[in-house]
Amino acid sequence: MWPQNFVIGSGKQGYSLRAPTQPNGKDEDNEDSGRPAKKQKTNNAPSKPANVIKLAVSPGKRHVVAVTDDKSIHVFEQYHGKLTQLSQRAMPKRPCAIQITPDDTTILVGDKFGDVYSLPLLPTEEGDVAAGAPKETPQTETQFKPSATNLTVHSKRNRDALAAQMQQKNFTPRKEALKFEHKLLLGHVSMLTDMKYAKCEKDVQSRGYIITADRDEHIRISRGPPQAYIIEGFCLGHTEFVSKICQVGDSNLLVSGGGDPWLGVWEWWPEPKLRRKFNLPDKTKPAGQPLAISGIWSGRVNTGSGEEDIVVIACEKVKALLLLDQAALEQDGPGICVDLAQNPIDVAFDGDALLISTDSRQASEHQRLQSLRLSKKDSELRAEVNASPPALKMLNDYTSDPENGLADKELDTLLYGVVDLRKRRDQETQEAEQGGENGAAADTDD
Amino acid sequence: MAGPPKKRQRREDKQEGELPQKKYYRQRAHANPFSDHDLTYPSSPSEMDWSKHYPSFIATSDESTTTTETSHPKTTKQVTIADIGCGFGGLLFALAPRFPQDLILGLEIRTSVTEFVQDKIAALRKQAQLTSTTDSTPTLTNEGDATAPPSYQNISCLRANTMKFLPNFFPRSSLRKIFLCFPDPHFKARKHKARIVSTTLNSEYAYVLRPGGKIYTITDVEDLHNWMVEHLAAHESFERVGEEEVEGDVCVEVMRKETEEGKKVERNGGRKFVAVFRRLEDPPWPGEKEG
Ligand SMILES: C[S@@+](CC[C@H](N)C(=O)[O-])C[C@H]1O[C@@H](n2cnc3c(N)ncnc32)[C@H](O)[C@@H]1O
Repeated sequence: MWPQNFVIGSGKQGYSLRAPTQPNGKDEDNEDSGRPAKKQKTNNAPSKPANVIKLAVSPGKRHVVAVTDDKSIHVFEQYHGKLTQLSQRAMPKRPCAIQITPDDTTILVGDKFGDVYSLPLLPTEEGDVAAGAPKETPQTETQFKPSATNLTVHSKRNRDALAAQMQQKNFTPRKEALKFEHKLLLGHVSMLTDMKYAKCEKDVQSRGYIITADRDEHIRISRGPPQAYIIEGFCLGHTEFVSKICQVGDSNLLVSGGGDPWLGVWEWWPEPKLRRKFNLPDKTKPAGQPLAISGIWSGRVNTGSGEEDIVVIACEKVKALLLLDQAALEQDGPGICVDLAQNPIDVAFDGDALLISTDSRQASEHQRLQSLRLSKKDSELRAEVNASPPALKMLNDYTSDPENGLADKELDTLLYGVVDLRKRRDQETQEAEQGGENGAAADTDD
Repeated sequence: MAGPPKKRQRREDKQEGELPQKKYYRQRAHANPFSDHDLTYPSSPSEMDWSKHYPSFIATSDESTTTTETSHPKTTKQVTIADIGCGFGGLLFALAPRFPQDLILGLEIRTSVTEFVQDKIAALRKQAQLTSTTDSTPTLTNEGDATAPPSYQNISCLRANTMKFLPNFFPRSSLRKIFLCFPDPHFKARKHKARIVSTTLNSEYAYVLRPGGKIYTITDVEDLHNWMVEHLAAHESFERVGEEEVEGDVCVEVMRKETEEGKKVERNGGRKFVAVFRRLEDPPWPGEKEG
């Protein structure tokens, strides 16, 4: 079966990871109660490997980071296409977005519960020991909870605060205390859906931002570390969940989408502003289920008439891609729709072509990956099927091991979960009927 | 969500200007801040129609504070004081005459409690109008005249889950005071994310507060007090306000004496823990100079 995520290394050295291939991690008990979303627990039997749910390549292309659905973050070193695992770290909650910062030192991880952490790409023993790795006594592990490690080491005031906290009796033991170096950078109370690190040039300086999106329609712009506790603004206007955000190249444009029948094109910097609501063409809307944007990608392409940032959009379970060029992003251009034979799962830019992984259950084995060549004619964007390049043929010829394969239903949950983000607006009525999770304690006196 | 029909009927069985009774508005004590309540909230602050909440402050077309393409009437002032989890609104009614220049808003997640506060504000406004003999203007406000009897035109209340939707209501740096009075303690460790103060949530308070603005906290639960102090102190946007300044602050006195919870604790002879934090200026970006 083909993975839901794949990445392309630089130039000809493309490579892919397939799921499920990763070493098995421990499936730690999580406390998902009190959250609205359905649990998507994959109760891995000990023999079953975990599935890769996210992949990222370091900007320097030397490292690959994979997230498996046992909440683990694996770092691999890449050498001539061979991957060697360097570390495996288990997060407290299931990661839903990862990125490696442009300086190649830090992994940013957003989890479903709304928190964004930073971890060193390559952990050091000192850092991990300081964070309560096994050398320490078990007692300090629970005291050193993430909320206290956060943002605390920069000023005297905060050091004092932390010191005071360490002396306090431990009234907040956390089962999930992390025993490796990490910082809690920011958090949403809402379910986090996407996170991007973005850079912006300001005079001669360059500023880093963390942009986060949540199920409650927010897009939040925070400063990048070490000032991630400062919120610079919000891109507000969505009326349904936001599932994906994407910076257009290194510009100040951001494209967002989710449950609304339109895409937001925002100037996210210097003052967040909605520039265009791009109404989704009917062709990109699903027939049998509510609309859910499942992917937004951006890449710089030489279209034959110069370099241009192209944005690609996929809707869940729709056999098409929407392509937006500069004219669609900055003015009122219509973009183009490309029909596909199967549902697109992930997209990567490969030079001037788009590499698309599709749901291979819907077609012959040889079409799991497809390539589209992008060009412009009379300033109109075109996408033509690229007759199978050799690398593609090799990957398409690869057959998966049926032993490791997932049942159809499991795979559906893995590949098509975005639509479940849609809110059920009648939930409160139900909750009131059931007395809610806190029972029906009423006000006592007043 | 409407109350049971009987209660609702009794609520409506009152004279114009008669104050509502709490017993017709009771609701279970806790609402889960994580679930998708059937909430209404603006998609962004510019979409918010404040004119319904502060009808005495509706701007004539040439004095609008904002210039957006939205269609609702504008108000001459912005909300500058927020009471988060305002409960039955005791603090609001006490703040109204003390800060006549500010628009004050209570935010409460429980529907019928919110309705109680709204009904009480309506009744008090009505009473103020009926008793104001000197001026017959129906939309009289006591703006600029702190000695006039309160008109209660500058307070309002709405239903909101502030843990999720604060930035939907308030633009950046728009508030000068935030009150967190007797918040629900959520004792169990696994419920701590439900607490109204956390390092990550504090970034949102910092976002809506202007530099120099203050967060006021009060609770009778010492552990919760320690928790709030610890998490606000650990946040680089806040510094704790010294004791002298705290004791001299009229808001602190009001918070101790006029909140419903404050009164309950008083009756039971309990202790009250107060902490006030000031919103600091944001530092320059790393590697950039001030200004
Ligand atoms: C113990 S009462 C205190 C009421 C009032 N501040 C006082 O001091 O008398 C706490 C209030 O906060 C409200 N609350 C809890 N979580 C909330 C949230 N996320 N958003 C808004 N209100 C909330 C509760 O419904 C409750 O009315």
